[in-house]
Amino acid sequence: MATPAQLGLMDAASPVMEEMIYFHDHVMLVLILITCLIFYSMLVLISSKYIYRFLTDGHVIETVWTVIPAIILVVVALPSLKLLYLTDELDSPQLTIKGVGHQWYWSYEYTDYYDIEFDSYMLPLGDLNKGDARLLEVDNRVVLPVDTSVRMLVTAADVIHAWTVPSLGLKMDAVPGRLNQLALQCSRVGTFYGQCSEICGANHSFMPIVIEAVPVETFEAWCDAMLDSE
Amino acid sequence: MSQYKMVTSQASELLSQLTARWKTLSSGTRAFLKVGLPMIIMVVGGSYGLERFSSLRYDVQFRKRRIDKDLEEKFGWKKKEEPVTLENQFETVKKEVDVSDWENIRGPRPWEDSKEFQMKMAELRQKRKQQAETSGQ
Repeated sequence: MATPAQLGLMDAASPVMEEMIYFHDHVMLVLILITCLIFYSMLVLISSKYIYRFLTDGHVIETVWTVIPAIILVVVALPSLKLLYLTDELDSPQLTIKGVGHQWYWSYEYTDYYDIEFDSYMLPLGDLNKGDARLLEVDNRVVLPVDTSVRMLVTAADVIHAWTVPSLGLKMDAVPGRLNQLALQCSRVGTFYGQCSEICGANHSFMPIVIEAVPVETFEAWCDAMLDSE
Repeated sequence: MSQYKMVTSQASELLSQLTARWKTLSSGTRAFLKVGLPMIIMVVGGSYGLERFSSLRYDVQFRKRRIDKDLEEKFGWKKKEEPVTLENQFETVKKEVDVSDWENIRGPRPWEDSKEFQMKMAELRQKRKQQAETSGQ
């Protein structure tokens, strides 16, 4: 979860998010170098006392400041392409979860083995315990086994929503009449929060997503509890 | 030192000969070798180079663990006969959601409790769904 006044990205909880953080750091380095170079050039030019009245063109410098940005773009594009293909689907999901966006809650279905369906509403302020996150806690969390490739199918029942979990590097639009697919993998045990990311009405800010990554035994016990309660 | 000078002068002579030859290639049909062929190599070769990136999703498998084996062997779970695939889930979604029949849900007013209101609306929708199912049957 993000801490107050946090500026950087959240700690990664999936391999893909780790790669995104590396890529972000790489591109940020390039951008800072370019910005510092530009600021230095501006300072030097502004503070310079010399004027060259007969300056008409500069073929060599124009070639240099065309070729070097092209090289910089290639340096940025290669890791970007690698990450783009890495975020593509995995070919052997072990579990499939369908998430449906409603106004204003999410409902989830686990239908691989048994039919487990539940709604996930935001906990109102009055129902929060001490230490709980305001506007982020839900009554029923999405429980997943850790270290498992999960396929998340996202859709909506009314208007467009978006299912997001920043710690896992996931965001996908939930469009009514369309089924979008996400590859999800939690590499550590923990609780990961997200919020709806597409304006969907009055309570758009009040339909959070909570994923709880647990060991497989805990997942099995949770499934049993959900089946018994149904 | 004189050997070094000889080598560098021979290298510079070779370089100037190659440059002169390269410049003559720009004339007439030999423009194909200077311009066309490199472009074709880049376009075709680029897709081979891209294959190196696109194969990443198949080469990289971060976790080798299979949870379905754990669930089946340890807890005796059995997968359904019809596996859950994107296609059959989409068919289910198409049947459940009628995108042309959509009602605007009124949000809670500031003096209304959001969760109670949403529960009421959920009950209404459930009733309407049941009525639709019974009338459909």
